[in-house]
Amino acid sequence: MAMMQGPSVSNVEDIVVCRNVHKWYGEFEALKGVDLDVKTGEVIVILGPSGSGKSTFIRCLNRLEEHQEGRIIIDGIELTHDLRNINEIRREVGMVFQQFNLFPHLTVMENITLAPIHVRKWSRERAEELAMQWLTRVGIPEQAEKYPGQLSGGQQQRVAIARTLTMQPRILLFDEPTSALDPEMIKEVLDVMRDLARGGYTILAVTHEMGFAREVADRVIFFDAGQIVETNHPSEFFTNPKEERTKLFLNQILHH
Amino acid sequence: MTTLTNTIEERRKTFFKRFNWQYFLQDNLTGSRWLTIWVAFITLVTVGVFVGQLGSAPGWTLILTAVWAVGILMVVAGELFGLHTSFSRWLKDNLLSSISNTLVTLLIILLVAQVVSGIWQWGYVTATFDSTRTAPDLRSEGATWGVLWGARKLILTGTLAPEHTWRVILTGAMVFVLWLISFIATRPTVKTSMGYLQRISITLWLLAPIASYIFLAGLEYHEPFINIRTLLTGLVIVVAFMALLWFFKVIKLDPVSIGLWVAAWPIGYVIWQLIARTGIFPTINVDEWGGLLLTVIFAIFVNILSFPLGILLALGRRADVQGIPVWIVWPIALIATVYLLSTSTPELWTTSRNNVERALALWPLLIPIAAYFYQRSFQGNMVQAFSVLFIELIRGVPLITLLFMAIVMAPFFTASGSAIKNFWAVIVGYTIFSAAYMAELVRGGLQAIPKGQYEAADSLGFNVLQKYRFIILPQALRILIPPLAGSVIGTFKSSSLVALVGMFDLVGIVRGIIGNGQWLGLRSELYAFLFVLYFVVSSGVSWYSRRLEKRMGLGTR
Amino acid sequence: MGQISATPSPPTSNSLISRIASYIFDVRFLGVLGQIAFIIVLILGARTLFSNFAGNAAKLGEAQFICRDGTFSYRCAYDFMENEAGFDISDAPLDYTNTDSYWWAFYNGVLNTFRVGLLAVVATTILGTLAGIARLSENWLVAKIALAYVEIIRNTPILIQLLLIYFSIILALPDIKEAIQPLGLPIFLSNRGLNLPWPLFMSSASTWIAFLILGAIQFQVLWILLGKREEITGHKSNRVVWGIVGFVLIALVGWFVSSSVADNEGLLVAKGSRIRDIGDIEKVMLSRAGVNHIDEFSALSEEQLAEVALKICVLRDSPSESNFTNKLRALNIPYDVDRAGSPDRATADFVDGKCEVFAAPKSILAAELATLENPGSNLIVPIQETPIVWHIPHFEGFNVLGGYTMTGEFFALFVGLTIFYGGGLAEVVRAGILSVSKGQTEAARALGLSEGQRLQLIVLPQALRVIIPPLISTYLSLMKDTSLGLAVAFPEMYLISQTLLNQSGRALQIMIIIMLVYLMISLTFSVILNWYNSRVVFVER
Repeated sequence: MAMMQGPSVSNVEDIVVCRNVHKWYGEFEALKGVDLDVKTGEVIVILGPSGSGKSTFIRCLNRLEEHQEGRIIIDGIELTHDLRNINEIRREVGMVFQQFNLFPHLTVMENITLAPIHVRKWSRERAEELAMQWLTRVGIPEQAEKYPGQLSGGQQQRVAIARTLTMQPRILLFDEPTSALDPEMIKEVLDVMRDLARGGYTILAVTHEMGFAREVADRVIFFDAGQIVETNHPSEFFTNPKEERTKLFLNQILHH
Repeated sequence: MTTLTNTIEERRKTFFKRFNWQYFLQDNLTGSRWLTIWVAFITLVTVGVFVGQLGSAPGWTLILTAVWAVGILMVVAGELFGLHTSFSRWLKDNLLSSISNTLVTLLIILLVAQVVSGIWQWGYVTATFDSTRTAPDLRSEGATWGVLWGARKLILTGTLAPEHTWRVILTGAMVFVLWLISFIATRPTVKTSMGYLQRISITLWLLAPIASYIFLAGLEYHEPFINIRTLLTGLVIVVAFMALLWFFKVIKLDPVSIGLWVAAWPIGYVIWQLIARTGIFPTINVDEWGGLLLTVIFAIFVNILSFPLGILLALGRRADVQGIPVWIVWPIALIATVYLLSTSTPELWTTSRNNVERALALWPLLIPIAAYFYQRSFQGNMVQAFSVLFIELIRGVPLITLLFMAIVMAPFFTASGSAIKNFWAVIVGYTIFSAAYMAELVRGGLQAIPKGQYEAADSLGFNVLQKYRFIILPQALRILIPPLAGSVIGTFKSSSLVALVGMFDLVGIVRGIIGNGQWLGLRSELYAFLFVLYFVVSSGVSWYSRRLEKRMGLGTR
Repeated sequence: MGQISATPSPPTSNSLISRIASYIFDVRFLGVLGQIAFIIVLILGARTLFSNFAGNAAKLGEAQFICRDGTFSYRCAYDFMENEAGFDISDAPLDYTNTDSYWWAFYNGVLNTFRVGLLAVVATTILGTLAGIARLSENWLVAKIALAYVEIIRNTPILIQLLLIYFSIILALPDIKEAIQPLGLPIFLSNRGLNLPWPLFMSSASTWIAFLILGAIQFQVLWILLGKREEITGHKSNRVVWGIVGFVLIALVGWFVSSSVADNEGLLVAKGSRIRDIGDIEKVMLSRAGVNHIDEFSALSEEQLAEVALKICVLRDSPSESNFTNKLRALNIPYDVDRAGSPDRATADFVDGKCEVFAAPKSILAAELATLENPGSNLIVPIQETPIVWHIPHFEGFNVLGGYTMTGEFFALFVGLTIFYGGGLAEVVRAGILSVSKGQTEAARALGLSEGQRLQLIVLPQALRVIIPPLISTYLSLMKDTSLGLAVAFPEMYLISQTLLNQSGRALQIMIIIMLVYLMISLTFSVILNWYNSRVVFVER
């Protein structure tokens, strides 16, 4: 696959800045003060046991969940209740879901071009051209006129990635993109992600794919009980973790 | 010949080797106490019915029983000699599978025969079909079907003046032609070769209600031919509507579509005035519509109007807009309570005549209670609170009270001096009722859409209107086709209730016909006719909707 | 992680305008703004309606709010309800005459609504369950008939079904004189409706019920004891059969005990009548008619019979009447009943000689006896009673009296609602049964559960979870559709309120009350439904 053209490099060094982010669901505190800076072009893999708040955290970054305390600043725009900021940030941040969340009543092409046409206000031709480019890059240009229900899980997830990328975001969030896939399909999606990671995108990915983390991550973050327990370079993280909790976690998943 | 008897003899022997009386009895009679009681009971009933019918109609009873016995013989022969045909096997599996089933079969055959022959006797054998012999002294023992032909005009269009009948026919013809066009347009071969036909047919369908209104209600001509004020007002409304849609990014602005939209109104206005000036379609009082015409108008009108209203209510019920916060609600509620307690209560209290009125004088105390529930159930979300209350209140009362209220109460709530026609009052009451039920259906559809669809739309940056317009509603409506078809049928059926508030729809006009000297008391004939008519139309619609659903389903997946 | 860099500078400029703008575009602010705009629209709409209403009420409807003293006040809106109703109710559940108030008339209507609605709810449940099971019957004919029933009922309006049932079936039934009596039972089906035998509780019924409770306790105790014995010895015993046998035995003993112990019913007779116990009546009658045997009464002519018939006084609708007349009929003694509204009236009739015997509970008779001028010349004769007597319909003149009477209108509405909602319920029941997957059944078999246990423990709980929510909404719709009594002239709440409205002209007030009653009914059902749903959700965890 060809190397992918990344977005233009911004002069703001830290594209994502989180300070003391808190989030409660009723009485339950899901995020207990998360601090994180992400540089432009950095690839971050977030690990952690289920229920540790890692999904909640990245969903806070594009306002699918609302944080109640602390600050989130994305590409220089603070995520507040301000409608304009929310819209701005959602344009900058693209998200790929565990369940793909393709629109089943639209063809693949319509799925990809709907947002560019109506949100970005592009002409249909421009949107379709770019959509076709991305479909080609994720390797399924021939599926453009099919409905999502006619595709395999891996193909669907690749369409979802193409849909996100056609909107030209600067930051990509992956929320366990391979968890709902059959083993033989995981590879095709990981290949695309790997390519994107090397292509200069800023990526935050929640995933259990250790290979992916080892290979392309600039940093690995370990989440537990709503907090960042450890941040480390992948080689360090997997071979020589600093924290006891991390060791335990790695033991459990690696020797399983 | 001998070989044949030999083989049969052999089969018989193998059968008896397989067959075990003990098992047979256990399966059919003695398996459990309940089975024994059930078989005894069903035997008793069957014998009773058989004997009873033998007395009243010996011929038929014997023939049917003989047919049943032949069936049993076929099954027994099949079992005994292995001579099963596919028919006898079917009999054995479906009608004669056990002793009790065999008896039930006979029982049902006899009972059905009795009912059918009764209806047949009344409806055909002793009936008269002559439309001139419907007066009470000319009737025969059975049904007097002549009334259907004799009163056909009333049944079809009610009290509508005969010179307007052609307009009804014209409307019917128009609808038929439109249906034909869309039928052709959706044929697979045509769909690909002449795609524009489908667009044309949709446009025509959208214009059809206006055309029908012109045909059936007529147009009144107002001088001058072009009223600048009306023209401009209409134009402003169209532009404002477009601007709204554009603001919420539902439509895009391009010169062609702007031109089309802006030109549509003046052109429509001129055509409207042109038709009005010719006087081809003089106005008809809507309260003159009756019979089948009125029933159909009600069903269509109410369905079309309640659909968008129902969607709005459903969206309102699910709206998760930021509610009015507690710190605004409570102070206002408390101030209002104190203020009203000090102004309204003393006067009411001093003039009260009994304890009930004294209690009612304390009504401001209800305000904090209402505020509490408002905060607790709706978190201050007024849109949701209103939708929920509206839907639940409407669904809590019978349709007929709403219809009656619309007719009786309308004069109280309209601006003084303006009379409202019963037809419109009933339309309003019925639409509100239907919309509340529609809202619950649509809500069900919206709930069936996975949360991920909403999240995907949000993450791609759609605004609320776009999200519902492009992603949620198309999916929800597809899920909703079967329940919506059910609702359309329901509205059609319940429209018969308008007769109870004095409208002359099918049932209402039939009640009138029955009171008419020439057709006095021909209830069974007319009600039976309506029964069949409603049945045919309702099952027709539900059959068509199932077909439609299948076809749409095939197109997408 | 590495060093936390200094707090980043705020992203947007801090000018006043941009700060105000960020408040304006705050989603919360916009939300509240939208809410307030919505409230304002609501208030404006309500105000228009109210000002229209006030204007119209003053003009059209001042008379609607007139007080007794002739002034105009909204507080007098419901004063008219205390006026005399002036119309009759053909089928009033309570004691009602046209001189009663509108309130009382309306209350009778509400009771009628509940009477027909609740009875139809029970019947619908039975019919719907049967039809739902029949839809899945292995007998092809049964399944198809059930299917036809469901399809026909669901595709036609309930109003036309009701009209057909009332006009073409019930009104086409024979006259009361030739009423249909199925199998010769004392059940009378005619165009006036249906008369059924009905059990009445005598005062000794309380004793019998105590025995029944004892029987139930016995059942429970036996159940537990035999169960324990089964556990210990492994000796199987049929607990159900023994329990039922014991129960029946105790109930029978209780029946006889309470019948023989009870001494509450009596007859007030004159000493001169020579009646000292119920057996004497026969002798008195024989000598009066001048015949030797009671069977010879059948040879007498109508006039002669009327002449010799025993004249009895009873209280209207009292169990004592049925208790006594059932005995007289068993003895073939002809009698003539005089039904009085109160003990005073009955006693007066007795003193006047309009009747020879006054049958009532002894306590009433004793009280009445004390009020007589010469109590000594009369006496109270005890008569036997059983805990329950059957109120049996029978001909009296050209009418059928006694028993439970369903008028033709009631019957039509009841049957119509039952058939219509039974059709809907059949589909619900069928869906419920089908919802229990086959795997569950197989799992139950694999566990070695018996057929009964399988139904009771596995199938029913799961099916009910699917069935009950739509079942409750079916009940609710049914209750609302009792308003169709209007079409068949059954005086339920809606029809009564229509009459009230026509008589008084108070549209608004009456619409408000009936809406409130219907809303109360709906609210009750939704509370039940919500309670059930929350309970089921809880159980699932």
